[in-house]
Amino acid sequence: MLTFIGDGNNVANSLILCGALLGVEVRIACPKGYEPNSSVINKANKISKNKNLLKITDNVCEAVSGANVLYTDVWSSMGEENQLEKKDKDFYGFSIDSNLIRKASKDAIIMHCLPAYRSKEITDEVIESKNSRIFEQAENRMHVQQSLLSCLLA
Amino acid sequence: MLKPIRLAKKNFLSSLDTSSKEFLHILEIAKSFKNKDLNIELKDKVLGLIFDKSSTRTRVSLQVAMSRLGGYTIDLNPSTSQIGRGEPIKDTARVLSRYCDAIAIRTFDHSDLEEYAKWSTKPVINALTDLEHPCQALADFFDNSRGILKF
Repeated sequence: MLTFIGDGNNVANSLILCGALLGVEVRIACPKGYEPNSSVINKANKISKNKNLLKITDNVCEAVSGANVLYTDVWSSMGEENQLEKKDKDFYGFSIDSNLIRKASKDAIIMHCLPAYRSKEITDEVIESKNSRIFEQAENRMHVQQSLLSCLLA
Repeated sequence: MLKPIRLAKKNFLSSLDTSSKEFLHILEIAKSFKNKDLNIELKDKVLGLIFDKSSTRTRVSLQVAMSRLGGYTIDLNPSTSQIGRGEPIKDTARVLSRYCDAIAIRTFDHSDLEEYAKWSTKPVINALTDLEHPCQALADFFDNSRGILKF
């Protein structure tokens, strides 16, 4: 089970759709008003055989409980710089820190699609922790896109 | 030897543009690339990059991926070309289809990407829109040892 904590943005949308496609349980923990796009949620529910695979909640602890992957992204995406202050306030409590990790599955891995703002959505300690896959995750972009290009142009 | 199978759809605009089988196939091929036991040549193929927003990982990883395949990328920067300066998307898309073998686009409005893909005769890759980031999510399910992350 993958838990995404933060803004219901484009990355969250794509993770939701991939989860539905592959039959992977995805939970999104976001403050009220920052839920993922409703058309994306509808699409996911439509193709997913199991309606319980997707959960959207503002209860971080509940969402993290038992998760195998904790995933986050910046709170303010590109073009939202003017909302920075408001979002920092609204997302209070939606940070991945060592306390939160203890509530997840014992060997839960940490993912972040970068760029990361330390001490906002994630702490430096968590980024540098042994279960962090963040830099391998970034490397994988290259291998997977090399494959995607091959499959589109083969 | 494992060989890339052509995807059923021309474009990769959404995480739902592949079947689950194709999704897993892409990750399987990616694993071979990562382990350096697959050599695929896209010799002299050209990937055009249209990025309306800044990018580090997506841009650089696409550039390196393409060069590892023996192809090229060219920057179609909106400030130095017609894109975003008033030429209709349908015109730009048809012209660039005659120069490039594929296009990766990062823009704001997902419907602009869809409009571009509608008129492009070559594959279009979503390099991030306000709605989706399918290249990111695809890579996020990759696992080095198993090919796909098991949750």
